[in-house]
Amino acid sequence: MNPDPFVPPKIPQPLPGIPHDLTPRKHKEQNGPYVANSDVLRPEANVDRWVARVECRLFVYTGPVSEFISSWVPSSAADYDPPANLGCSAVSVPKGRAEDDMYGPLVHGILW
Amino acid sequence: MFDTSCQVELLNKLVAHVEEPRRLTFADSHLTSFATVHKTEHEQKPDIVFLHPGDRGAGSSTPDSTMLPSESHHSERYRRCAGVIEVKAHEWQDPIQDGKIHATKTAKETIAQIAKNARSLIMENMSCFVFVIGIYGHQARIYRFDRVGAIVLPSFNYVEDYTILGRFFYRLVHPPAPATSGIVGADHTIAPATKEEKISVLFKLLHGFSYGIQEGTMAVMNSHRIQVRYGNDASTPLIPCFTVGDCLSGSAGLFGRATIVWIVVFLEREELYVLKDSWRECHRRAEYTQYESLTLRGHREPNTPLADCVGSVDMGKEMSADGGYRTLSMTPDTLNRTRNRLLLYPVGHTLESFSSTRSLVEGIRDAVKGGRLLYCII
Repeated sequence: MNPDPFVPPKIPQPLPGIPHDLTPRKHKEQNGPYVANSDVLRPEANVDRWVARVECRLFVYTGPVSEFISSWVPSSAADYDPPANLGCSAVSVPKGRAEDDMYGPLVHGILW
Repeated sequence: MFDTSCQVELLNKLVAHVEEPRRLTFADSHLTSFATVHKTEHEQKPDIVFLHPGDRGAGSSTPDSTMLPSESHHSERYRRCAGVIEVKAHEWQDPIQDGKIHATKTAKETIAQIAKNARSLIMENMSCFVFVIGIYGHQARIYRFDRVGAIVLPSFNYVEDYTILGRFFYRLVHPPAPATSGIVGADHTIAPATKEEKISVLFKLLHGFSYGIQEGTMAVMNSHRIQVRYGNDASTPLIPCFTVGDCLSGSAGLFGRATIVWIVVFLEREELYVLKDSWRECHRRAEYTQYESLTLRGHREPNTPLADCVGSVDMGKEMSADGGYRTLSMTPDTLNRTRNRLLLYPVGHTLESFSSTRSLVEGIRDAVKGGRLLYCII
């Protein structure tokens, strides 16, 4: 007998003495972007995705620095004339000191 | 993340002698949150930013900077930035060792941070290419990102030889002709509409397109002037059109076609158009030639469900090579991309604005038919 499409199917009742299986049926594996428990949104996965994108498209220039600036920073400017009074003594970036001396107090807050 | 005031001071002194309208301003931003262009990503806090020439920071507005509107969740802070500097305390934190990305977690995070900054800068400013600087102890690197890849300068000691960065910033604020202001890498064919232009566009919308006063005002609030060609003949000069409202769609990727679509209006014409800006790979056919082929082969009937291409410009082919409208990072050259603009008519409806299920289904059907015509029959 064909089931009547307008009558809701009977819910199978557990047979006496046999415990009814209440575990939900497993869903079929889907191809869609199911992300609830996936790695997609984990920060590490995000970083890996960015690195994968950039890695094959990143080229380290092998020529001299001045040539890089001339060719990759096109400009209408004449030759650069550096400011006369800009010695490193004039700014807060110390020169000729060990790097840890210079950045130590600053890094202290991060690493320790 | 640490105090970068000494670097900021050095950088500001490096550019102090540059004439006022072109001078960059460096600012410590390591405590400032910059929302990324993609809403699923975390905010960023670039260590140092350099603001566009003329923007002095700290509340000064930049009504004339070359920035474009975007969706509400996008950050406007990147629009004020000409570039970003990420500072690390030690030389060993340089993510590039022996010419490639180091395989450590720290190096990967640093590269991802730099790439995200580049993406936000290039997208928010609608630039052709952008520069991001990495400082690692006393060493520095300059990264140049365009829509296909990145070129990285070998590291140099920026403290001992500060003229390298000085020369770089000096050239950066003197873009090649025909640009007269802005920075190298910016698109000088895009600029915010002036107040007078916005009023003219608003008047046009109110009287020509049945916009209400509130709707029209919102639509022109972030209007921008974009140069485009009406017609497909390369000898026809570019003319300005004005964006209406936010972009209809935009790609959030760093590399690729980076397609962005607006509704635009010309002050001299009586219709609204769709403007599509994208970066086409050089070995692919120009999109407008496919529309032309349809007409030539007799596939264009009066009821063909396909928009007309009424204007196009291949900026990479027609503009100066220095403008950056053609990318340069990839080899072989055919993998590079060229910036294209396409003008389409008429403007369609968004899927949400259809009045009935039938018209929605017809719209999808026509899209399938149009796609087949463009890419299967030809």
